Amino acid sequence: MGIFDFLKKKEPERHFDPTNITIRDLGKGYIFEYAIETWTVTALFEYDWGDDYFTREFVIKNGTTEKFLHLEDDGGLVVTLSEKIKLRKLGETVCDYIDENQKPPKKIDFEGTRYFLDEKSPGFCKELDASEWEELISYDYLDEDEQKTLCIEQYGEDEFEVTKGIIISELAVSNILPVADTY
Amino acid sequence: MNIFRRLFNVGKAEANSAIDKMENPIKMTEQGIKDIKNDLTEAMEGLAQVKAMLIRSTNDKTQFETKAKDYQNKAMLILQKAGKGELTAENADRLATEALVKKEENTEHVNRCTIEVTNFSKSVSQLETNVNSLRNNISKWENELKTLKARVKVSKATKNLNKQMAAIDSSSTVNMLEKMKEKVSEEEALAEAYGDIANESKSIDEELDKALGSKKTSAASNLEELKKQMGL
Repeated sequence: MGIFDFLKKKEPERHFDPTNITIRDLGKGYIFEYAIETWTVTALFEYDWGDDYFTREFVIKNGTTEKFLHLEDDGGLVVTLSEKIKLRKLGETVCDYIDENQKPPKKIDFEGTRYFLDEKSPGFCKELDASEWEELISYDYLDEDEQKTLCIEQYGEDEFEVTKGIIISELAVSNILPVADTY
Repeated sequence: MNIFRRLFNVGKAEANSAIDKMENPIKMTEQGIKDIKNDLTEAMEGLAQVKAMLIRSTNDKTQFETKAKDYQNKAMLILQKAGKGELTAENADRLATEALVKKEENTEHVNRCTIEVTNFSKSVSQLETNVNSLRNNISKWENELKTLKARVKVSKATKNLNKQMAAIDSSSTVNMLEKMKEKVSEEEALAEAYGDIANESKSIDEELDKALGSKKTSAASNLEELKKQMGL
């Protein structure tokens, strides 16, 4: 180390340890591997559930498929990998119930699995760079083994978005590569 | 070598020696590892960029392949339509030729993308090897540094303990006890000396009285005399 090294322009501090980047360090543009496929983070959403409780959701693509990686840190980290499905796929019974009650039912049978309503959470959501928050109510369902998930997000009175997914281990996401801030 | 150069060399040596003393090897190593970690981050960012290009080229290749197949199918459909008499032979030939030209363009893109994919795959593979090697080395160095830091702590503690045991440390408790003992001995000697001086300072009468015990003798004889007078 030269004596005048301190005169050099200071490198920006990174929020991660490059020898051990974890799923918690993920950011927009990051590349990682999951299930022997390479995925790129294309967008990052933030959810505010009140009482200073926040969760994050990454939109990820592997070239053709788009999925969502949801991170919830409530004492322990819960990672959910999900994909969008059409509301009508939940079946006529569910759609009719929603039409009549403006909310989904407590139990949903979908693709041979019975899902039970785990929690109903009102909150706000926005893409990280956006300024406006959007109000929503999230209805989160779990199957009996608490491995499969179903999430119905209600925006306004009659706009519903549905995702089905699975709970994965945070270690299933590996070889995370960061991107430079200027990239 | 002239005298100024020698003086300069002496100054340089002294300055280096002073800086060497200022350097803390643990902190220097920690800073070194921090610097290498920055290099690793940059290498990983570079790898991410090449991987992103590989993904893009792979996607492009798939798209161009689909388009090439699509144009091929279109050319075949047009020729089939001409065969059925739905299109004039001249028009069908023109359209089929156009479709085949487009197919050829897309096939060229596919070939270009295939070369890109091969090159990027090689770069990714090479960069991944380098990044993994650097990452492993950093982990190894960090672990070694942790061990060395622990060893420095143990050796410092052992050195201090041994110093105490050997009682060679000027600030050690043993040394302080020795000093205390000396002080107490001094105080005792001083007290004894004062006692001696006090004994020496008595008058000769006091000494005689003391030697003879005259006061006590006269008091005893007086008592005997009084008893005689009283007939006791």
